[in-house]
Amino acid sequence: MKRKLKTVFAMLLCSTLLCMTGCWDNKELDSLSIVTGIGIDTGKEPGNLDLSFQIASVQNGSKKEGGGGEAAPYLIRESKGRFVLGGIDALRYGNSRQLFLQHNQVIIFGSDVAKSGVKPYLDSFMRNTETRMEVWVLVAKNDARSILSTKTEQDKISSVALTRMIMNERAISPYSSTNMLQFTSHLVDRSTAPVTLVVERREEDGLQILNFSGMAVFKDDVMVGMMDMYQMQGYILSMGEVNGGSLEIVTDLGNADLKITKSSCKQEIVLGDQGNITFKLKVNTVLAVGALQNFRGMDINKVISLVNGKAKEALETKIKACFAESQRLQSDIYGIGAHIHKHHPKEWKTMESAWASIYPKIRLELEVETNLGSSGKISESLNMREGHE
Amino acid sequence: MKPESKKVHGLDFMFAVACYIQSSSLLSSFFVSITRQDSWIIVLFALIICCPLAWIYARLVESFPTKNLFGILQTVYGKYLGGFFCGLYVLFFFILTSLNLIDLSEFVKSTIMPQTPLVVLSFTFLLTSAWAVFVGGLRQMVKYGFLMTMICLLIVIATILLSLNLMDFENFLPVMDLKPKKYIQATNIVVTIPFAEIIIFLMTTNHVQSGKRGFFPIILGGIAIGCITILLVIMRDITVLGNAISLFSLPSFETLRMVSVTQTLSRMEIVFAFILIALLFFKVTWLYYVTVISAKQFLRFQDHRRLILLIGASAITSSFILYPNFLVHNESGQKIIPLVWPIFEIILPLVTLIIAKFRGMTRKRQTGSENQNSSSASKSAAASPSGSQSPSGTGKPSLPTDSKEQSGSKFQSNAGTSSGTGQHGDLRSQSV
Repeated sequence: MKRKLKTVFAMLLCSTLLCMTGCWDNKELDSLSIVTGIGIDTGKEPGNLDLSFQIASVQNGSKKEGGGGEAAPYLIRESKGRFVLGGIDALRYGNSRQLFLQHNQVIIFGSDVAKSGVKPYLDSFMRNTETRMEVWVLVAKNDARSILSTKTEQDKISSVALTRMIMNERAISPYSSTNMLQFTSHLVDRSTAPVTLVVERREEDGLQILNFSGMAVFKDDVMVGMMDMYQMQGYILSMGEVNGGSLEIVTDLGNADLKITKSSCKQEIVLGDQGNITFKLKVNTVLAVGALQNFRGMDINKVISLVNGKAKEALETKIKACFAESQRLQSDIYGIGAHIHKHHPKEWKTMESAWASIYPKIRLELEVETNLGSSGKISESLNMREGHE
Repeated sequence: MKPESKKVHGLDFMFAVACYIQSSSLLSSFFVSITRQDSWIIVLFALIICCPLAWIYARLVESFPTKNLFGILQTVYGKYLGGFFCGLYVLFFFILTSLNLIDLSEFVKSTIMPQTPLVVLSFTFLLTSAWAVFVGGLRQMVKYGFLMTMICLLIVIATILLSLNLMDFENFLPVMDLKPKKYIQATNIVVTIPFAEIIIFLMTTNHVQSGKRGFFPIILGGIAIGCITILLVIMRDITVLGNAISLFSLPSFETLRMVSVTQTLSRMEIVFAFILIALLFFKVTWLYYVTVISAKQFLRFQDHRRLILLIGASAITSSFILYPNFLVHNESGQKIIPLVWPIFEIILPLVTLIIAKFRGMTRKRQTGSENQNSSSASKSAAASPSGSQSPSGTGKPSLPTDSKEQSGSKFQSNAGTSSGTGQHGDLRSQSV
């Protein structure tokens, strides 16, 4: 009897193997549309969205170059809908394959959508179990579709190219690029304004290129402005460590192109007795000479000293310009409110509701130190030699 | 499930308790959404509260060393009231099994197999658990505790190391900034949902060799290891996810999805998912095992095997009926369960201990060697002045006996006069 029961049990267990083969969840590569990028633009009809899905074509993507006239390694599928899910669902009717979002690299909001608020669309992605929180969030200077349909040369799939560009940017500073987790975290925080990179499509010599042109600044989930690269550099320098970038110095005596070797910033937020807030920044930047033009007949030490002083001024101007712009936009991109909330929770309770009006009144105290230490393989420039006896 | 002829080592039992608590780390969303960045403090509060609770459990078990929970309840409250409480406990264990089964199935569905019907997942898991309950005994159940605990700890430490680059320790701030009510609510959730659920182990403690130091260090050690694991998991999740942690229904899994050391060393969450599934499977099997042996004892079945499939089928059915969806389950986990579960996990054991103390039923803790020599103790009890007889007449409590003889009512009147009371009551539980 016992043996029979065991046999029955063993057979039952074996039969469960049939259920464990993943029959319901099998996903064959040739039945999937692997989405690598999603673009969201406002539709022509009010309240509607134009959704663009960049779908990687595995066959074409793996082909070697040559032969000419090759089709793009991706295709763009478009759909319209009031919601993101509705748009995805609408594609079912015109697509032989199932959309697969696990490998999505970027979510690009068109500037019109970003100006009207992105929360409803982020909500859809966060609920979707296939979407990962590490997906990069970008804002297109114009429309998102044009970014996804850009035929980039080196990386054939534009969303993959964008991801690599973001990784390059992050090697310099991680503060301007934002993934979905960081964006959401700032939205939950309510005081810190999220920022994302702005991407634009340009044509140079008949070639289509993608270019980061600055930083989109949000207030809650609504984009309230864009900062250019000049202001963006001021932002990353005031946020923490920076491991790259350049600084152009223009003087009456000559010009210099400096390389930022390393920069660090120490932030301090001081709450005054009368409720006034001071944002103290101590920036320490190590520079190297990239190029020197003119400075005819000048001694190299004098040039270094002059350029160093000018670099300090230039960095101060950049940082101040960025801070002023953020105050104009009433967007706390530095996370000052979050810092007060974390370190002075009692004081924060009195400020929280009026933070948008308090932020523009914050005083910036900036201290920049520059150290122009390296001049590269040569010291004096060719022009400087001309004046020497 | 065979009658236990040899006792389980205390350390094995401790790791089984630890593993049981570790497997609850997925349920962090119940309290993380309430206390957010302070959730790690809640785990520490819960550990502090669990110290006296562990003492209550240990004292209860040591007072009746040869009885399991049902034996204790029937000894203390008598046949009818004790039986009523036993019935409630059977229901409690059964609901726990169903809830954890649906948690396990939901986790698999949401992470690995989204299109597979829940019923198939539940059925498959429960059938495998049924096999484990059918062929394995308590020794087999606890055997894997140590291995699973260590694997879980290693995985948690590995994930902490892999996610170091994503961590921001400022996410712990501000500390203790929420309303006190929230801390109380969350602590109650942590105590009742993973920690105090270890009351299920009281159904098997009569088969555990506690050693010289008794049950308190065993139970507390298990709770502490489980607590440390959950603490590490919660701290890792807070530092990685920040204030967004309160948004996710499975914060741990979302953290693991973020782990990406290099382009090639990423998307490793599937490895962790399997570990979590294994842990939850361990938990469900334990709950299933305890439900079966408690139902067998309560319903006075001679052969527990007849109940395995019956209870399993009922557990699958009830797991779909109890809550219509995960949102209701989550809300219940925050608002209803923490008010109901303490009756079984804290109040009843505490009241039982107090009553047993007042009725003089409790006795000093036995050492491990004394515990093992319970048969000789029962002989001396039989010769005690109260004149209570061994119901089986054999004086060998390690053997299964007819449950009718063990109702406990026979020796209720003699309770408190002899240490032999406990020995007699053990006879039924030994047959488990």
